[in-house]
Amino acid sequence: MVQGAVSLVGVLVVVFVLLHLVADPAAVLAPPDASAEQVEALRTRMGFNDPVWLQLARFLFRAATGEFGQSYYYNEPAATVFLERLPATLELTAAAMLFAVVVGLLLGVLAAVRSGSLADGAAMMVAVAGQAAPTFWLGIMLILVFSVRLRLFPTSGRETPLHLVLPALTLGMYAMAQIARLTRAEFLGILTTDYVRTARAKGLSERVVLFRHVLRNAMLPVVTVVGLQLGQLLGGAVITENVFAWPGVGRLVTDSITRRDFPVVLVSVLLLGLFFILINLMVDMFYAVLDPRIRYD
Amino acid sequence: MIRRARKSTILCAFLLILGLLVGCASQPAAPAAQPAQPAQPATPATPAPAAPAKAAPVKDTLVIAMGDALDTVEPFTPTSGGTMRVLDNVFDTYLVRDEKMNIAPQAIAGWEAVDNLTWRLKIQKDVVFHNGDPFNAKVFKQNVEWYTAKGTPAKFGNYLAPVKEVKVEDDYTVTLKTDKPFPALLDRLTWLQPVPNDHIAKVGFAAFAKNPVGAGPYKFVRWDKGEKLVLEAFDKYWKGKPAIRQLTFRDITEGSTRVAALLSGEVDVIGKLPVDLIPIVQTNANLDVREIESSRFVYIGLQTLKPPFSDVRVRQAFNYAINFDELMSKVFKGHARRIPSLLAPGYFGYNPDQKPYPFDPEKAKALLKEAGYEKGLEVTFHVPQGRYLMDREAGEAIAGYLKKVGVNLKMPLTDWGTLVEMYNAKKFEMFLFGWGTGFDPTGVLNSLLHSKVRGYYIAEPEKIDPLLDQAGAITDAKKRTELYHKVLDIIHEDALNVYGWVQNDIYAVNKKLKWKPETDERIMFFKAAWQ
Repeated sequence: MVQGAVSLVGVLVVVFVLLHLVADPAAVLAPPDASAEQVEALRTRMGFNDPVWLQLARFLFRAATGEFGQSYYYNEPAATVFLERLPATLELTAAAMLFAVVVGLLLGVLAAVRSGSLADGAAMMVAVAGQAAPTFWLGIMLILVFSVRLRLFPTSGRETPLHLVLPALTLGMYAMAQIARLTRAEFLGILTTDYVRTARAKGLSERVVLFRHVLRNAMLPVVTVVGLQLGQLLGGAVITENVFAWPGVGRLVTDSITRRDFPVVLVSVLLLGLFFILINLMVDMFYAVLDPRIRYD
Repeated sequence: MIRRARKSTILCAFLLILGLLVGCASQPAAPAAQPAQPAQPATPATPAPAAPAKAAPVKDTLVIAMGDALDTVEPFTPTSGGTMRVLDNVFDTYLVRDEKMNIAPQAIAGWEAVDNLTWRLKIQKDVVFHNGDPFNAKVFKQNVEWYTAKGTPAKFGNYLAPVKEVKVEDDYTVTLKTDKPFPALLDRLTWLQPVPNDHIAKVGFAAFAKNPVGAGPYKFVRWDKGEKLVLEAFDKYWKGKPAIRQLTFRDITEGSTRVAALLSGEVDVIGKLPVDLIPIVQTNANLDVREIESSRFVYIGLQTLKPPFSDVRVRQAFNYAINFDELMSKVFKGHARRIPSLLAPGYFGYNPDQKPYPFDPEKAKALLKEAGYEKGLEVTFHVPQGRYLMDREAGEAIAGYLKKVGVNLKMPLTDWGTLVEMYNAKKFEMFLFGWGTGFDPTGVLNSLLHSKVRGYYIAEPEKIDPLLDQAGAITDAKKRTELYHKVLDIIHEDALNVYGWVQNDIYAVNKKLKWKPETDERIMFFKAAWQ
């Protein structure tokens, strides 16, 4: 917990200092026909001519009270700008994760159980393709085939549950492929262990063997991977959100960096970092549920 | 068991790769810089046969995706030009430009330059704000005071800075007194809008920004930030009721997605159609490509304060080395036009008789040799990606031409924010930039050439500054034109930049929609109607 908090503050400080040393928001924000003096005046007004450590202190002090300042780009508090768009990203990430886990597990189990057959080969081919396909290309392809040609799904935006399908598939594809391959490998490994042999010898049905014993043991590494993938998903959301015009946070963060909208960048770093740490905590706790051998003191 | 698994996986993988190779081979080679290349097989038999039951009776709603994300819904504090163009439908400007790019009346019906320091303006009758407040001479005076007040929220308030006094002569006439000659007033008024000051005073600017009230043909209904803006026709609009009752502006910044939305019928009008995707729209029976020459021109700036570009011969060589005609036809496929200098057609002061540099690579080589660069020259060339039409592609083509005369261009990929910062800090050697929207040269030439402005890199202030100062201080159109022509001649002779082109604004629309894009990237839907 403490570790998490410390790393969070650390990241924030690093990002802040980097931004302020390297970038010049006044240059980017001033209208194109502003004179050099006008830009300089803007710089002073925004506090950029103060020494960096002073700006940092000011920022941390205000951040501690939840005050992140006004976005330079939108005429609103930076925190509001971020929080307004966060639900959309969370929704997309959750849907993508659901797809990745459910389909990934199913494919992996199928491949392992029918190991060596055409089903196995086909499942693994899908997995490899899923990992190889660039997100951008995959998104556009899905739109062209399923929206424009087949008119099954809308092309973009976020209005109905149907709007969530293609973006979730696009975002979750890589993770799904990873999970499928990992599950298959794990399963194959476990199917040959002693305790599985014992379970079968005991006369338990294949379904019970698979789902009560093999799956639970195979899940451990999968859960680890899922924890890592959540970070990846939040990052990959930028491309998917862009392609599907999904009003989330991913696009906001990269645009804010380009636009030198510091308050929004910093709020995003803080809140996304916080979110990430919480998820990892939950993953750790889930371990204990899965594996009775693990206990935290 | 393991061997069989491997075999079937390998077989499937092989078939997949084969399939991909065959698919790729039937596609034309895609330029590396444009990531959006939808596979040819997916599009030919276009949605025409599969067209879903679109309502047969005449529609009165319109969905538009311009390609920019809106950053506010009031026109006084936007940071992007795209936002302002959308808001033109909610907030009329005082004046507009007609098809020939001449100033035309709107909320201001007439004007007269009484003398060097006085303008008389006639206010249009029957203009009313969406909340019922009237617009008249008294309100105009309030507007000007609000625009020029210290600490005004209006970003472009300083456009009216030279105005020192506004006198209300009668309900629909005002006299403006300026402290120095202000010939650009009319142009400036095409960028400013009538402001409902009484309303803002009552609710405060913050609330107004969430529920804007203007004097244009459409009323604000709702803004789902990052998703869409919904507008409704304003029946009391002084020019009449708009035929289209509801406008929805959707934020779709990715070009291919925009086109997909148009192809599927979700969207009726799109802007910023990527050049590569034009054929797809053209082969679709339901869609039309409509374009208009923009006011946005592109030029290549050179750091003239340091070698190698401090030598006029090198600068001229660069102008001679590039085959612009080929660039226009091969890269821009006719969607851009070469211009001889720093102004585009339609701008005040443009010289239609000025001839651009001819394509002469031998001369370029000779000049470089004279300047001592016979062995070759290496220059860093900064080009934005996706900011202007085919910007990166044009940059790469230019690098190709310069290679043939012994110049090696390094083209690092930098994001727009960084480019702007570099420009400000004068940290570049050669860069590709555009300038647009704003037809008066005091906005353009002064910002680009005058020594008092940031990004100053021109090495000849003594020659150019006095001409610009003079031209900005008089109102005689003919004299001003002469002075600006002189400036354009100087920068051409001395090749202070490499002169480029003016691009087209390219839109794609549903054929059944009666609508034309306007110059200066304006998109007005008041006259739009379904057939």
